Amino acid sequence: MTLQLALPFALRQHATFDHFVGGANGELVARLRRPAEDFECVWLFGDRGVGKTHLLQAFCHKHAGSAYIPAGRMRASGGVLAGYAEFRAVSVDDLGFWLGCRQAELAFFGLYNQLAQRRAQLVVTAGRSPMEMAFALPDLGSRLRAAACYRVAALDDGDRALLLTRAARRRSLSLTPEVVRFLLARADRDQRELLRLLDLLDRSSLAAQRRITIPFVKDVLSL
Amino acid sequence: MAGSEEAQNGWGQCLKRLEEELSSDDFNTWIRPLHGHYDEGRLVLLAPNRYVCEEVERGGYLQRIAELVSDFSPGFNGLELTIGSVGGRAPGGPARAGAKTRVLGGACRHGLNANMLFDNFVEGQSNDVAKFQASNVAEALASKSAVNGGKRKPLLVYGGVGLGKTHLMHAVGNAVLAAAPGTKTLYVPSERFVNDMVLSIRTGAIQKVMRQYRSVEVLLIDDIQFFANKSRTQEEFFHLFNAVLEAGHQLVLTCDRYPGEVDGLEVRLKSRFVGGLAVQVQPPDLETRAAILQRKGDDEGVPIRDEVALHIAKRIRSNVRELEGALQRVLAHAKFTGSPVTIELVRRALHDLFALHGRLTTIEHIQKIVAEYYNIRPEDMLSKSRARAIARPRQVAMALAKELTNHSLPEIGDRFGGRDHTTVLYARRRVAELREKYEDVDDDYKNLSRILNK
Repeated sequence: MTLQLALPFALRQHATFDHFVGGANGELVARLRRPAEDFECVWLFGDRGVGKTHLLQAFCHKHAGSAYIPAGRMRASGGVLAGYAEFRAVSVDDLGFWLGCRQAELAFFGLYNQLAQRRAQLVVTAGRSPMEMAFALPDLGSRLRAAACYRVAALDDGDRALLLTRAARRRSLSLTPEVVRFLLARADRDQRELLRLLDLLDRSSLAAQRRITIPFVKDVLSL
Repeated sequence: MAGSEEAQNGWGQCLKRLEEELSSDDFNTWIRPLHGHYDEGRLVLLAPNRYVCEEVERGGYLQRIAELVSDFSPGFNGLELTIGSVGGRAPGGPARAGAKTRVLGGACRHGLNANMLFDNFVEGQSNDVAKFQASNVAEALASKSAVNGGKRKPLLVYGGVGLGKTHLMHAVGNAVLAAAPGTKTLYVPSERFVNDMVLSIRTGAIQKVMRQYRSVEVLLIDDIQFFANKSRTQEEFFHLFNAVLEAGHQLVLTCDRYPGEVDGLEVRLKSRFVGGLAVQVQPPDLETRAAILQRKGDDEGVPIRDEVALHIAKRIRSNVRELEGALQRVLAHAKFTGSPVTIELVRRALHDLFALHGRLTTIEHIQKIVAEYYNIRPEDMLSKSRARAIARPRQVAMALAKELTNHSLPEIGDRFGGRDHTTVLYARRRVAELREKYEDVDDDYKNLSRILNK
């Protein structure tokens, strides 16, 4: 069989609200879609892979003049956070990376105060709620504990199937309900892992010029 | 201008292409914060800071932007990446269509939040003295009555986080501006004051900056505990403090604790801070917490019934900010579901929060913290010992357990070494009497309550 070369990039899973399967997160999505009229801080928390980063990036996509800061990739300091207070909305992903370090918290506290003063919007994500986080600066802790706090609920199996089917459709792939059920029974609950699995199947099916069937999935995943 | 529009579209097309080429993380982190505009065919990209600039260059994004823009923009005449933002408008694009207009950047030159007023400050036993003194200060300023040759006493409001110090401070500023709009008023969070000092020292503009601060008639500086260990800032602030008072101007300060307790603050500053009017705000009691919720609900146009307000206030005791956060969730949930605000709705909306509070404040946790505070062993809480050094902390722990948890008297008695519920009842009454009679017992109780509510 001749293998067709799969191009070394996959179609991006664009982080927009339209591509987010909300499940039980309808209230949260509605809140993030609507522009704030005054300063507000929203805190999203939940397990890994429930879609926090997707929601944050969808929020930036939706609202012009937004900035996205991945705390895990930047060490907070006055210099690194300088200028972000000029944005209408700032989102900080995985804030937990900065908490507990006084210098980082001081820098973020400065940004928080400037955003509040400018009536901008702040959305942060973390693994846990602000009540469960240890803050080096009590002043920052009390401000963040006043945030509108939402747990991002994990998807149930029906919503995971919907996520997989929609993502496949965007790639012009056809997945039968049997294949979807087969995949869900074996895949991680983490949404990103699920989409990575779909990417892998997409590339493999293109290279092998085969439809995605249960035997094909078994081949690819060596099951 | 058509040419300029075309060019602008070039940057827009470039953004679209980059969004497809890059991962969401990279696009959002490095490309989204850039604001592009054209200057005589030259694309000028504004980055929020040096760090983003360096990453855009180092990551090869700048090179790719140049390639794409030259494809998309006929007459493209080069690319410049620099630090900056669009004056008066946040970077990232034009104003949102249909969004309520909010002027950003320098609109509010006095830095005051117009929503923080005396009128919407909910008063209770925990903060009535502070409110009284703050409104006196504002009235005196508005009527210019205390200026007659004398110096104005600085007002210091101190107390734990989230108890309304900043609200009172803004209320002073807003009241003065309402009565005498020309009064030069400025609200500054202390970390911005420190930044101003650092920057002006570096650029040699310290005298100019200090002159500006000295010219302010009502200077409001929030959270002065952040001056700790910043010797040059303290030095400059000391001179500013004297100059402001000398000029008959008013200083209003807040601190998260009594200034004498702030390590790293010079003695001369500590004595000055408390030399004027120093007033404390304390955590609000149950009735005040409920009243705060009802006031906030009224402000949002959603009346909150007594039993609903009490239901929330009984469970969230730490500070006003947390209370506001909880109410926001409740209101958002009511709006989303189109339901009235009932106890049932509150339970649904705050399910996570209540569960968490329940987990964090357990009887065992209270026993541990109280034992540590009084330097006794946690086992002593359960022992039969009637020695005063043991029995008193045990009674305090029982009283706190009744106040901070939803356990019944028999449950609490049982967890304190199988004691009867009447023992818990007696402990509560005894602690209340002792708090009334002895200030140190009252202070200990409040400290413990604060620690447990953190």
